[in-house]
Amino acid sequence: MINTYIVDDVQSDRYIARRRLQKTGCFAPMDEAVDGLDFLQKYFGRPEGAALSGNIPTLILMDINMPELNGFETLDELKNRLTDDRLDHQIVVMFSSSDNDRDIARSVNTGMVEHFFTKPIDDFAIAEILKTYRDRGFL
Amino acid sequence: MDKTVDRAARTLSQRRSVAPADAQALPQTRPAPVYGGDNTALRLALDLSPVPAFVITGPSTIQMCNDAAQQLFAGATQALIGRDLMALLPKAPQRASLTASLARSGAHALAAPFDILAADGPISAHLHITPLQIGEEQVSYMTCRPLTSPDHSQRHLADALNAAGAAIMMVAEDGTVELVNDAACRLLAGTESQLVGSCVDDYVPQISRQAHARYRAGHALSHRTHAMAGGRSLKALGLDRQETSVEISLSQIDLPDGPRVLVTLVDITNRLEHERQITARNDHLAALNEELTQFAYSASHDLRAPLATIAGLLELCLEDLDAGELSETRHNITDALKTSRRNIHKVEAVLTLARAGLSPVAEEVIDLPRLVAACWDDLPADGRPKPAITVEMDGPSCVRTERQTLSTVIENVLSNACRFQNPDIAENWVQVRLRTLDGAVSILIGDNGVGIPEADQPRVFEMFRRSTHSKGHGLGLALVQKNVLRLGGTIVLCSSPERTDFIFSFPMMEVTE
Repeated sequence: MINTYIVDDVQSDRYIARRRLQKTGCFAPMDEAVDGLDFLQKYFGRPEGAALSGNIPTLILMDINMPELNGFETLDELKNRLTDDRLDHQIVVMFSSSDNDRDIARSVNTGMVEHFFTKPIDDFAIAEILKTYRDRGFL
Repeated sequence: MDKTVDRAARTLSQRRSVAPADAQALPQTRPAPVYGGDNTALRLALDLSPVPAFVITGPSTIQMCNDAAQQLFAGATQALIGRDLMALLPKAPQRASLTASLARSGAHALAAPFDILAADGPISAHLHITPLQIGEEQVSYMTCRPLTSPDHSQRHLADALNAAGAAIMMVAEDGTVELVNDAACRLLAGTESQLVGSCVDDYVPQISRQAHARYRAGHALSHRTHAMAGGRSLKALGLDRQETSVEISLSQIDLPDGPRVLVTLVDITNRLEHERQITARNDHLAALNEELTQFAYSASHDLRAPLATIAGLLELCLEDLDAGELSETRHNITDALKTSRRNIHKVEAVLTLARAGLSPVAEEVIDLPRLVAACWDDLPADGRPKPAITVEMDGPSCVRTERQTLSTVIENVLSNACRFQNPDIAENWVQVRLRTLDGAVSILIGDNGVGIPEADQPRVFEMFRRSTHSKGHGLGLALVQKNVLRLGGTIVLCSSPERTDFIFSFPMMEVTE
């Protein structure tokens, strides 16, 4: 099972993502954060050793536009706070309401983002995420 | 011209006297030509000279002179003939120099202008001496060209230079200004007599004067035409101590008595101002373009967001309906409706922001404390008590400005102060300080609400930038900034855990009594 964080300030969008992920039965436990700060607190506040679930990297579904820290700023902070040995312990997927070229380029430049999907998140996006896990031998 | 006259004197003497056949072609180093004892030719040469001219005998006695010399140095009443020329020279070194020159062979000009006592007072003049031998007697034919009384050719030259739009100066190798046109006089705020004879370095601002003297010496060796300082704009310092932005080009000209530099100065004050205006306009357009880009980005992102949410919810509704999950379907339809209703207002807010600053608004006299009070009274209570407000006024209370534009600024900041009250504090307050002292309008709106974290402060004025605690659209402060800019104002934001202050300054706003 894939340990998952859904980071989005819009409750309905978190709900949609959760429903799509639940449908596959591959994502659990599933945690939600209402903004970047909330996510960082939860992510780094979890007990040591909870980072990996059977050595499967954690999935982080990250919205871009959020109050306080936006998605990119949250990832910057995440990178700053991750120790080198934990840098590959997560797969980050950005999901945004627009497919703006600037945002896509910025996502690539983070060096952490595996996929960029536009909202609403659908079964196709979830299948792509699962393919990534399979291709890397985690499933 | 004076040299031409000297030649005429010799030529006339040759025709009427026993003169060597090659007298007029004699180089200056040869002995003075010998003429017969007839003074008629000398008289004619004196009378033809347009400038004061003398025939000097003995060490320095004036034997003959023309009317121009008589008028200039003795007036109508005194006799000039028979007087000692040295009596006209007040400076001893110049008397010694002239004595030596009178004893020299060959026609020659004296290098520097001489100070001479004219009938109306001292003048400066260039002297030219041609030694002649009349029979057995050695005489000197001397012309005197006062600097303040240019000869005809100079006058023509001056007329031509005056017709030029640019300021023109002719400068000797040692930096002495020898000729200026009217435009140069205007540019340097001096008269021709003040400028001619002065050093060109005097018209360079003090900070560059030494360097200029070095460059000038270098230029004298280079013999080329070029723009001074590589075409960069320079400052010319006038006698009134005012500096003028100029472009300067230098041209070398060779005169019989040595090279000169023709300096052309073009006043570029207006051009620089024009360029400044164009730059300011370009900056303004660039800012507008950036704003438009940001608006398009934010609008495409944030206006699509609710549509994507609604689409996602409706897709789930269809799946839930197929699965017979009516309760979940109802719940999701309700959420979709809420999202669409809420974003109707968001679209309106975006349009308000886009329109702000587009249409002209008439200015009117506004009483600032009353405007603040009206804004405060109109704010919805939103189900909880408003903070306590205090309004202070320093200076006259009325200003002339756009009422709605300023109201929008004040309303939005007061609204934030109401919405972001600190729940942990017993008494929330809002403080408004209005200052119009010394004609400078500033408005401070402070509160002791939850404050704005330091990291967020640089971006609070961006579109759709919201606080976690906010239920708004993130457009209020973007609207505030746009309206403040429209009024030519600036915003300073200071926020600490104790208090948050928005300080608006409006330097262009008119204070009325």
